[in-house]
Amino acid sequence: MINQNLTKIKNEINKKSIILSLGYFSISFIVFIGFWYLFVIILQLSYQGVRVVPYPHETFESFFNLLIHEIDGYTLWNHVGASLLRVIIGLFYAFIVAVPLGIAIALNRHLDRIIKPIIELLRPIPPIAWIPFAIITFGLTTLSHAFIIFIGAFFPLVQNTYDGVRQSTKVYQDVARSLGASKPQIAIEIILPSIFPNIITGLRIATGVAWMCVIAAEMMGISGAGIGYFINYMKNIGHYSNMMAGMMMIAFVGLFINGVFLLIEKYSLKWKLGD
Amino acid sequence: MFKIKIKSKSFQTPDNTTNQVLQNLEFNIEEHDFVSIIGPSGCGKTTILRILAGFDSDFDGSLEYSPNSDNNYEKFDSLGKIGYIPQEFSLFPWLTIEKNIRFGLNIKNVPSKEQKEITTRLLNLVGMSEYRKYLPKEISGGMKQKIAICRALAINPMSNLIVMDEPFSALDAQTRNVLQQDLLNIWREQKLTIVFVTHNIDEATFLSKRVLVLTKLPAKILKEFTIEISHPRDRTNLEFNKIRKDLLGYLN
Repeated sequence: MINQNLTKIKNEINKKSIILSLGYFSISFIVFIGFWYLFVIILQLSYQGVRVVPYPHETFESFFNLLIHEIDGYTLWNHVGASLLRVIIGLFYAFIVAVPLGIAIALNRHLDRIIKPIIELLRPIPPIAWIPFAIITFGLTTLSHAFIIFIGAFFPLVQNTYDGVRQSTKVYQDVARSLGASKPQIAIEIILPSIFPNIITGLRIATGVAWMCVIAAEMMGISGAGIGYFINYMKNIGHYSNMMAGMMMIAFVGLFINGVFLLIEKYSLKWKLGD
Repeated sequence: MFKIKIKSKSFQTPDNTTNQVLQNLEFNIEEHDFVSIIGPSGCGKTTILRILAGFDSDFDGSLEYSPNSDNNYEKFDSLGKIGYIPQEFSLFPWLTIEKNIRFGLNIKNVPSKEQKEITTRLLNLVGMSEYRKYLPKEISGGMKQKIAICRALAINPMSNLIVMDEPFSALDAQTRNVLQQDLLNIWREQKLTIVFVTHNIDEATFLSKRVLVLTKLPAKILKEFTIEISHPRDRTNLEFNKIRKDLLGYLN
């Protein structure tokens, strides 16, 4: 009886909090759209009536149009797909290099002192500054993209892995040794699970950076497809509502990626969350 | 029976000066002993424990073991063979209570059925059988240390020896008192041999059969106390307080 009542109360609280969240979300959406209209109007007035930036409703219209209708044989989905594929390829390579390297330099002092200065030297160069280098080295190819994304994703991944191992509390390793674990067993059974949260964080940051890199690379003209290419192309032909629709797509994909990572964290890091 | 002899143990500080931590230190650990080591902070108590647990083989001296307690000692590599309970909470947070206890058994490839039996027995021993599926973050600090003891006992340490490095220092006073009593019960029932590092004189007096008082660096044994009062000990007892006072006198 008491339990039933409790569930009832819980359900009601849940309902209320959902309604409240929806309320806040609606308000923030309205405020955002409001500012957008205001911005366009003010801009138009200051340009003596010439309108450059499209209104929100025009952008949304273009957005939904582009999802269904092709331009030069591609829908917006195709462009996003092309960009995402590049991100995945670049991330994959960054992951398989950065994570083992991060672990290795964190565990081996000599390696640390040799590799760390190289990393510190290269890290300040923004991935975008590598684009010309990528073009002259790999040409206008997928490899060029992969390289730029690799550069962008590599540093956050290596750093987070490194920090994870360094913080991976020594005491767990000691206890495991006292229970008879060998070095490889400690690496697999202790260090890996304890740095898992850092790797997930690194991967989330890296994906964010990779997503920016791929768009920049596409805008710099390394390809004939992709969301960055599309935005740039629409700018060049003066179709600004399509251009903005492309930007909107980037925002949605970013939100989606973030959501995916939050889900991964929620389910795989149950032991860590809410500590 | 164990014999620990440390002629010297030093380490290099970052500015390359050698720092002598331990010097001419020698003591025995009997079967079913309860030895506490106390001393000023930073005097090398933890170092002794780490040497005993086998983490640190870089010292001048030896760790010996007499399998039949007949004074025939042989060199002893203790790593992985005796229980170790550190100061911090050390349960692997990504594993459930049960999997924590089974960790060492898995490493030693103990058959699954036997692992289950051992885990059940140990969880019953500390009265926590219903917590099998919990994660460490879901149980209290006192419970964590009890499970840490179970995990150390699961590997069936040699001579039931476990070494404990201020295991209750992160607990509040009340929980600490309860755990001290729990530890004594386990010690008696399981015929454990315990080496216990603490800076808490009251704790040492309450628990130990023997107390070793160490000097400042480089640490030597200043005094060895044997406490004859039978368990359970009464903290308000006159003799208890006299020993506590004596220990305090040696520490200052």
